Amino acid sequence: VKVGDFDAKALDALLRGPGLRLATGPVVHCIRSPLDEVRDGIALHYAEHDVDDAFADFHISIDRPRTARRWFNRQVVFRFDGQTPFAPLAGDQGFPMLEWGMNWCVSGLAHQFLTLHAAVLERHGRALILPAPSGSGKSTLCAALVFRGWRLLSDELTLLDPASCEVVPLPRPVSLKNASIGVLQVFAPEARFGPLVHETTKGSVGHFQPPADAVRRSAERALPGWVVLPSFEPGAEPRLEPLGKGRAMMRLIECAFNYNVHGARGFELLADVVERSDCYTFNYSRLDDAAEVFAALAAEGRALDG
Amino acid sequence: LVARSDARGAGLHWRRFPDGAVLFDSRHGRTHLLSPVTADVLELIRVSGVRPSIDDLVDRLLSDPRVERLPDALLRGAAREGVKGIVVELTRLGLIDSHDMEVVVPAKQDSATRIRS
Repeated sequence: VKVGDFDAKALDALLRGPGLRLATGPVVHCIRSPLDEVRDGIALHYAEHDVDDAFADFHISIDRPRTARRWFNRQVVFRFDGQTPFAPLAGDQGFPMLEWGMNWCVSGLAHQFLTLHAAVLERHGRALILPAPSGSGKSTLCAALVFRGWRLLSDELTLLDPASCEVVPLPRPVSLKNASIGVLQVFAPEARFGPLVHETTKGSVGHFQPPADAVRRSAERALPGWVVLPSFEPGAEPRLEPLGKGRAMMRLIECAFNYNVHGARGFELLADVVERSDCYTFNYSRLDDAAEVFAALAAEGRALDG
Repeated sequence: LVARSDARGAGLHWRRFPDGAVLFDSRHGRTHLLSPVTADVLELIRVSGVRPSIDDLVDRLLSDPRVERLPDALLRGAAREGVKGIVVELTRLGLIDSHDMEVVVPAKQDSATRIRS
C-alpha cells in the first residue's frame, strides 16, 4: 500500500491515531502528527512510498508544544520516543522539521550503516557520491542530475553497508534552500515543489517530490563508482579535476556521521569506497554545464565497465 | 601503485594510495593522512622488526627503487634532516614510541633529545 492510496481523511486518521508507518529505503518511521501541513507534505512528497505495518525503527511526532505558549505563539516540536531533542520552531515549519528529524534519526541512530553527509545518485549501476558541507552546491547539483537521467539515492545521507560496500538507497524529498530553489525551478520546471517555508534557520526552504522511479527502485543498491567534491563558484567555468584517493578518503571521513562508531571496520569500508571509485573535485556555476560534465563521466564509466 | 599492508603494531590499519597513506590508529581513535615518504618511514620502522637508527632509515630509503619520489633524495644530508623531521612528527602523533627507534630525535631546532638508546 502506498501513501498515495490514502485520501486526506484516512491519512489524518493514521497520523492522529496509531501513526503512519512510512517505509523510506531500509528504515520505517512511525509518524504521528495532528498538523494539516505535515499531512499535506507527506501526501505530496511521499505519495509513492510504501506504508508498512511491520516493525518501525523510529517513533516520531510533529506536534504543538504542550505548554501555554501554544496559545499565543504557534510553534512546532519534534518528538522522538516521547523526547524532545530540539528546540521548537516557528509554527509553519512542521514539514521541514519532520524531514530534519527523520535525517537526525537515521544519521544518529542507524548504525547498521556507515552514514555520510553526502548526496548520492546512480547511473549505469555505479553510485556517484557527492560529499560536501552545506552551502557547497551539493544538493542543487544533486537535484539537477535527478532531472538529467541520474537515479536519486539520497540528497542528504549516503548509507553504506559495511558488509558489502554497497550504497543503500534512501530516496526522500529533495531539500533546497534560498536561491537554489528558483535556479532549479528554471532548470527543471517539472519539479513538484511543496509550499516554500521562509525564515527558517536555513533561510527559505523548499522540498520537491522524489521521482517515482527512484522510490520504486529503493531496494536496488549500487556500488560506489565516483567520489566527487562539488563546489559552487559564481561565474566559474566547469572544472573537473582528479583528486588523490588518500585526500578523498579523508574527506569522506570528515563527512561521516558515525565513523567513530564503526572503528576499524569503518576505516576499511571507506578505503574500499575510494579504491573502487574515480575521485575528483568539481567547480561549477551553471547547472547545464554540470549536467554535461556528469553525462560524459557516466558515459566514460560505462565504456570502461563494458 | 595502490597497495594495502598491515602494520606490525597492534591497532594500526592503513591503506596506501598514490598520494599517500591513510592510517587509522585504533588505540587513539585517530585517522591520519601521511605523505608517501612518511608512510615509507613508518613502514620501515613498524614492519622491519628491528629498531633502526636515522642512518639506517636513510640508507634503506635511498636504496629503495622508488627513491626518486623522495624530495632531495640525491642529497644525503637533506634526506637525513627530512627523515629526522618525519620521526619527530610520527612520535608526536603517537604512531611510534621510544621502543621503536634507536635514534637521537631533535625535540627542538636547537637541541636534541635521546628518546631511546
